Amino acid sequence: MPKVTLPSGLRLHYQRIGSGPDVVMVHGLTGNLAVWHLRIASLLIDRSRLLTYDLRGHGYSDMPPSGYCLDQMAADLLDLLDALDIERPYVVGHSFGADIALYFAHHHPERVRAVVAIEAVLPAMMYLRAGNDWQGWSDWAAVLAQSGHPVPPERRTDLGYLLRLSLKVPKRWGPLQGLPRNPAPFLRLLDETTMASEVAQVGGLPAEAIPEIRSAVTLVYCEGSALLGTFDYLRERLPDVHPVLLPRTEWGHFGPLEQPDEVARHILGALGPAEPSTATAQG
Amino acid sequence: MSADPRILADVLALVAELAGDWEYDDPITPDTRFLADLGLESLDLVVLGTALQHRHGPLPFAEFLAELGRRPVDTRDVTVMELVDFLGAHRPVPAPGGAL
Repeated sequence: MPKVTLPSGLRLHYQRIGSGPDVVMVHGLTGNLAVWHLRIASLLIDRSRLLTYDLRGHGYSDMPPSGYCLDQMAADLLDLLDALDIERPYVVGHSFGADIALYFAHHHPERVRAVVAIEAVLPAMMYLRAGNDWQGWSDWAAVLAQSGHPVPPERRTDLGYLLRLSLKVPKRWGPLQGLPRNPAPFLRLLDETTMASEVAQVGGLPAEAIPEIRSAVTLVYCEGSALLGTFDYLRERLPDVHPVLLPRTEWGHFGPLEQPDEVARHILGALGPAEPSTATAQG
Repeated sequence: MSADPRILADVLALVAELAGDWEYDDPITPDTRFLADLGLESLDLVVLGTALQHRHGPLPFAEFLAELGRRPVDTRDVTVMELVDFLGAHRPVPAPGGAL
């Protein structure tokens, strides 16, 4: 399978398919590039040349002991685009991947054509989620309880505990839905790297820097999402924003898996009208 | 079902090539099962699907995976031969004299 070695020595697994303007798609924590290929990619490949990749520590990419903060993830993306000679793609991200897209747009605006940020989380918005009464804790506990894994009251805001417990829930989407997860790769990421402590670092995109993001951003959240506070904050402060609220779904946060056709429709909307077929059509 | 022997040979070669990444050492046959034998995850299946589309052109592989996901959990699996049949039914018609 295709891998690229970055100047840092890190090897990232990637896939490319389709033809048209370049679109790079960034998955979220605990995921991998498959999230895009289960449905969305098939709806985009006639209009765009997709680049999907596994973040460091995920999928078939290397799992170094450190380097999991958003600034480093954005640096990995820059190195990946340089290695593949992609100058100025659309950048689509989901959850932590949407955070990476926004960090990348802030740090390297000249390398971004536009951003589609789906359910961005952003460490700078942590204060919205700090309280015990944040809806996300209740939503997460409810999902775990429905799956036969009730959360003890004293653990309901314990992120590490919730992540580990979630590994016991069968796969929810895709060809293996209903089958058990293989917890080993993510447990290794939790236990043998600094990922858990690094992903919440605000680094180079504090709240006051959000208005500096000049790229056009299609900002996608789901009705009823526990992150709507972040949606409201961003839509008021991003200077070139197209806010989208998807219909309510069971889990809400996992739009690329729960309602991929809707998500693809908004990505296509961000691409604008079809371009003349002069783009390089490469594999 | 009589599968196109060229497609079968091509799929066997591709799966054998990817089997190195999947750390699977046994011979790949038409009866090899992607889940029970090869232990593939969703990521492996989409990598396989992308590789097939690079070789054969656009395929409804997302639908193939979705159909697999609807099969009963207890018996869910798919063999190399089923994939060959899928390709035979769905791959674009090759150009005259063209490769697979």
